[in-house]
Amino acid sequence: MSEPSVNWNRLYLLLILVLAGLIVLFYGITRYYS
Amino acid sequence: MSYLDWIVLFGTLLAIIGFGIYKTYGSKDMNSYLRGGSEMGWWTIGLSIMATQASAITFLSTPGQAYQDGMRFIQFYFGLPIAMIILSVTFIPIYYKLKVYTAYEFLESRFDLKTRTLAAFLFLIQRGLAAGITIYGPAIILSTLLNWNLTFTNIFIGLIVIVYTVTGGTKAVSITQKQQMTVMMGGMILAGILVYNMLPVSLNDAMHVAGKMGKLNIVSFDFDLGDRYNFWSGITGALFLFLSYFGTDQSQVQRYLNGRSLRESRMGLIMNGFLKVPMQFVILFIGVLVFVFYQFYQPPIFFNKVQTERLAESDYNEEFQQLQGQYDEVFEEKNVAIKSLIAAQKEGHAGEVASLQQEISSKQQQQEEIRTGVKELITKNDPNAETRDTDYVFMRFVMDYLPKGVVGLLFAVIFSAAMSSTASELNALGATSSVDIYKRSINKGKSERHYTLSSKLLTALWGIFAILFATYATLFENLIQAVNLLGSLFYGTILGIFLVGFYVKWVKGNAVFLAALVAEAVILLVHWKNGSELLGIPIDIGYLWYNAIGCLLVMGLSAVFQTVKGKPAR
Repeated sequence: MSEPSVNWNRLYLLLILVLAGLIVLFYGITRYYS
Repeated sequence: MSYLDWIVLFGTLLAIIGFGIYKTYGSKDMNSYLRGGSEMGWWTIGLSIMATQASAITFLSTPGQAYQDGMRFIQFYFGLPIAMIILSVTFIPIYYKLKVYTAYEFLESRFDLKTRTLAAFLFLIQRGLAAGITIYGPAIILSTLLNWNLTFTNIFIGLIVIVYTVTGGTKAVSITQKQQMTVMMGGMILAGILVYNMLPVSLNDAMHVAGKMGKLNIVSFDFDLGDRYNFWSGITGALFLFLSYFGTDQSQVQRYLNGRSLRESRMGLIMNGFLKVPMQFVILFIGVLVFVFYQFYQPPIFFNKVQTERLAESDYNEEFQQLQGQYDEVFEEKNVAIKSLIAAQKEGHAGEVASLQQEISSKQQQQEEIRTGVKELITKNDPNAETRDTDYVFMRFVMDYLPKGVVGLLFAVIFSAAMSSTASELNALGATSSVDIYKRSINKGKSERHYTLSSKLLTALWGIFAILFATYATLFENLIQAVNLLGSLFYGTILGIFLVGFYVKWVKGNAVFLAALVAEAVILLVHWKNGSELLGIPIDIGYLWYNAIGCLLVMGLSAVFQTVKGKPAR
């Protein structure tokens, strides 16, 4: 059975970007509501 | 609790466990018992990994922690997605290539038997004790809330887990975890929606109140070694902890080694990387919403009802009622100030907002002082009474304010979390003690059937040990931190051994073994002297850094020892 291949580097990059985005969002919330 | 709540609670637990046992009854050989027959898809693996990490303590303590301390705890998880990527690139392919049952098997093929045994042994001590805490932590809170006997609660949680972990092995653990995680996520999201609907103000106003009262302190870039939670400790110190926990702790490694293929295991880990930070955010944010709710509705002066009821029946009742009166008064004054703050915020009066913020903060301070008075009374009345109520905040709110049925569901969430973490631990303890110790060093060359049976027996024995430990444990300062601390004392060393194994190819067994012993001694010494002086140097280190120190020490020392001994000829 062949499974669709995964572009791992792209997935890892996406994960890092999502993390960075969340940190920026959290920092924004911290500053805005303080 | 109402009948409906009991039906929901027991119905949910029985359905999950019954399904798990039915699907996996009679695992015959080692591969199906310890590796679940290598047939799991990434979705199951991901949920299983998350369910293992999310203990009952996560759901009990985390909202309470946000209530008291704000949301800064989330920074602890910033290193997790990065750890998932490193593991996915480095660790998993090697485990797959070697077709190991446990992580420690890799160490023998790379170094030698004694290094493998040392790492397995460190894991068994640390995880064996942690399994006791995983049962005890929630049991003490659940027994208080449900008015159950503590020992009975320990046995109730422990015994159910022993039954399905022993009969169905790794596959039963994974299958039940998938359902348990669904219940946990569903239950918490429902609770979040209900709290949100009960707020008398809009979400934006609620967030202004929380923020002005210091609860939305989500990210801090200030660097401080003694501070447990900031961006830097999360992205570095916690990264080492998560690398060690997910990469070398058998209770996690076993979750993804049962994947259908390397791809499924990797995807499971990456799924955890994507979901973990948002999930912790939701749990912490629910704690913040509960905090805001209690700015408009009078909160209990102390969240553990059993203690305040005892106080009311004691000789200290008069003093207690006096404090309660003061507390109510301050609450009313604070409530007025908070309403004015929201109005001033809407009208954009920055100066008024700042002065109200100060007033609210001083009222908050007064309330805390009154609470300290109550805690002192509780101690006077019973010197052994627990005066921390952080872990009771969330469930007390649930029991007092959420509708029938939902209360039962949220108890099912806590029990499911306790059981899912304990199951992974017992499963891994059984696997490591049978594969790395019993089969390898004590009783070699027996049949497959013999080792499957011995794995089952050892799993059951570890379960009984955990129940006994839970029964005789006393409450630690904070449950989450106790478990994390216990990990941090050993994790750095174990991770160091693995990283040398993966990356520093010229270092051999003797050097890494000696380095590990020295590093572990240093970590224990530093922990013992933390807060005072060692060799004239003042030591004040957050426990999170032990992981990094232990790991780097093993890597550095093993390179030095190997160099002194002479690099082996290629």
